[in-house]
Amino acid sequence: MIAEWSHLALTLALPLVGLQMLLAFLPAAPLGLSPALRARTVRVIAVVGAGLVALSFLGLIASFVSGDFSVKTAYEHSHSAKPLVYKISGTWGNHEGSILLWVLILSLFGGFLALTRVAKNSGSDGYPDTETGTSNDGGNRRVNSGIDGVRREEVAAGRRQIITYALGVQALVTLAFLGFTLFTSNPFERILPAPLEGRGLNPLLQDIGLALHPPLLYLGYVGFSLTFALTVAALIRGEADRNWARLVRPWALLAWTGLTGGIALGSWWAYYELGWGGFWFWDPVENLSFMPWLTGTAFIHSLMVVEKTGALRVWTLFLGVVTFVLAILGTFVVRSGLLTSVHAFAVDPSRGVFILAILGVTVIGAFGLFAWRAPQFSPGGGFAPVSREGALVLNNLFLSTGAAVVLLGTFFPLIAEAFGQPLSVGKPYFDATFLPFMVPLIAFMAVGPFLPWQQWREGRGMAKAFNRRLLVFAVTAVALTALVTGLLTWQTQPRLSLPVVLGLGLAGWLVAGGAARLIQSLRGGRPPALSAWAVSLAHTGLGIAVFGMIAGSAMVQERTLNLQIGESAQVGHLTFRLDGVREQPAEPAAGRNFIAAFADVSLLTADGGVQATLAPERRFYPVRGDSTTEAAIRTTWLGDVFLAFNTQAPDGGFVLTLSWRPLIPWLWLGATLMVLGGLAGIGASIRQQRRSSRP
Amino acid sequence: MKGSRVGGRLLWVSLGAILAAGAILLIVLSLPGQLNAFRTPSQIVAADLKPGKIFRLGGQIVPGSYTTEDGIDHRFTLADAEGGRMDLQYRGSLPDLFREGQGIIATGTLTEGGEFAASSLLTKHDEAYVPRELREHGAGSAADTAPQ
Repeated sequence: MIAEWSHLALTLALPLVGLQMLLAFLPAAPLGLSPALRARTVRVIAVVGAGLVALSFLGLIASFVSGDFSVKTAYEHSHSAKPLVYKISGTWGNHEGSILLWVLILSLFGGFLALTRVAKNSGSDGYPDTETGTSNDGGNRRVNSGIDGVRREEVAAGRRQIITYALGVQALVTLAFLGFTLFTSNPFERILPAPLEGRGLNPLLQDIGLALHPPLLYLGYVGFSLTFALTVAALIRGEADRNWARLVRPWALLAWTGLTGGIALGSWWAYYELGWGGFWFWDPVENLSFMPWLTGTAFIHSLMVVEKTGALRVWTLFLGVVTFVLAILGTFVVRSGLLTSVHAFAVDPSRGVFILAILGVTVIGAFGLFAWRAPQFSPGGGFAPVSREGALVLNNLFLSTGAAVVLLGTFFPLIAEAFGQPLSVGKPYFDATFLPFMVPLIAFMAVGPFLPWQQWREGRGMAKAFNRRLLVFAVTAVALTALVTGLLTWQTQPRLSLPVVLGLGLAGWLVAGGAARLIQSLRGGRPPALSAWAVSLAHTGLGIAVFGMIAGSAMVQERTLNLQIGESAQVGHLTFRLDGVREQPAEPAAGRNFIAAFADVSLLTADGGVQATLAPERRFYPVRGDSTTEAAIRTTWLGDVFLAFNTQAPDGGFVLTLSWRPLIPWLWLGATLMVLGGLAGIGASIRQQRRSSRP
Repeated sequence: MKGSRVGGRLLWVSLGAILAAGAILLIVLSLPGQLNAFRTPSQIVAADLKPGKIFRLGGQIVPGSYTTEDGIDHRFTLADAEGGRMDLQYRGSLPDLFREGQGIIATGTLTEGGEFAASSLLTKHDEAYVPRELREHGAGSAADTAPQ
């Protein structure tokens, strides 16, 4: 019954969301609704709709957990002998469930926007709903305070309009994907008679990193739906002022934080689960998540310029539209199998056509609206080349050029095929065309936060202080690089070359700049503001991650060897010995659904003692007949010892991939710092919003 | 003051144009060497290709064709629906989902001996997935053309 109720909840959400959209856009007066009442109704519907979708999603989880294999999705992707956490994550480890998750996050974002204090405060006539009954005199005081009161009401009415329109756009997007779910990918489809056992989840997906990867990635993808909705609302209303930028910023940061975490988790999963040791392959599906990240990063930075100076408004609106279009594009390509990718999923042509239609309507509708409305925005005024906003424009230029280059490389095979020439574009293209834009980006990124807003005031003092700062950064960068390469040379036998050292120097430059931002804000004697933490953590995090990226790709030492038991092998500074191989049968009682074979490997010290033991594993899943590699990784501050157990060869030897991957842990540490920076930014922008809406 | 601001905008627009031009230049310089054509075994036989040129070869692993001595050097045969066949050699660790009877895409070059030396192998992620190029060339059913 759960499946039927869930399906019903989902079906009920469809007309409700339709109503939400209509109410938001139809003129209020003929309906006999005051603007405030209309706004409140739209908000209530958004919350109820989100609740219905959430109920239906919980119902699907319940079907997976309880092992109701009469539900086709559960039959195809679940199995009773599977740990609970993977029964739950199996819910979104398949097409139908993941699209339902997409719809859930879409409607939740709408619901959350409707529930925010800002939305509530703009619901009635300028003062909070919650206060109208209890503290009337407070409200009166504000109304009576003259021009300020009038101004506040204008702001509140504007905000109400933006939020109502945004909820309407959000409803439109939700409607499209809800229709997609119900008509082409119904997760609650039954099969009769019900099978007794499910077919099990793809073992590669039975992993904690991958259990969390889709929800976070979707938080990012879908999170940009709300910034898109707010952007379209601004286009309809014909105004994108400082208050609009303040309203959008926390949501943009939330989406960015989710996307950053999602991409990092996916990369981490590929690193330890696929057993290849790589973290980024320039695969189409990876690129498709990376492009909205690039434009989304540009978007959060250009929003700052709108908020501070009012410039760059049209460009910011453009980025708001483009970022979500790229996110839908990603969904379309992944779900339609249009591009050949290791990550591609099974395909159903009708689904591809449906998402293509959604994509087409979004692109034509949003860019059409943009082309029509953008010229009506008054130009925001230029600014001086050497200023904070100047640095932010540079950031935007580099990021969007980078995104364009990646877009072309990703879709070039399709263009080529249209001309009858099937081609593929590989890593060398992306290295050659994308990285050149990231080098100056990182170089400017370190100093940008120290430039003053508006105008570079021509005084010797300012230039002198700035030059001194540059010198400090340069010295710190050189010192950091010398420290890192020195430690690596002392402890290991690194593969150093001039480009690698220069790259590490650039990373050190960025770390210096990021850390300096925090140190600067400590000078006042008070704890640093959240916004200082945000910039510092995000920038320093990227700098630390860049150390990991460079060393983890250019300095890797790796050998694939066939070893007899007792045989030793040397990789870089490391000496390994294969001590033995053992097998562990599946234990149904323990909830394990695989047979494991371990290779016991000792890491030897220079004098032949055992420094550590590692046990890379091969898993065989009898239910589906697949096997997976579980790499053994020994993490140290200087890098990872990474072992994979490939197979037993016919000659009786065991094939192992032994590698040393310097500084790779820094990549995950850096990504974590960036996510923390994003969270600090959300906190700072919410605080800022509250402060600005207070009298 | 006003003038310098407008001048500022001109500066940004021209900088954007320079960046775009730089991007196009980099793309034009790097693309030709990076494009790897996709071919099936039948097309290679027909095209009479020169060794050394990198391309991608798609097909289904012929059941029973896979051999290895030491687990590092691998040999197997790919077939397509049109009956073309090509022997491959690959050195390194196999992808997890490598299995006889499965469709794969290998990147590499032809050797002097007329074999295909693969530098990387792409297998599926999802068991129901067949790379699009393979689907179009009908290699999904190549098992039918496997040798007796």
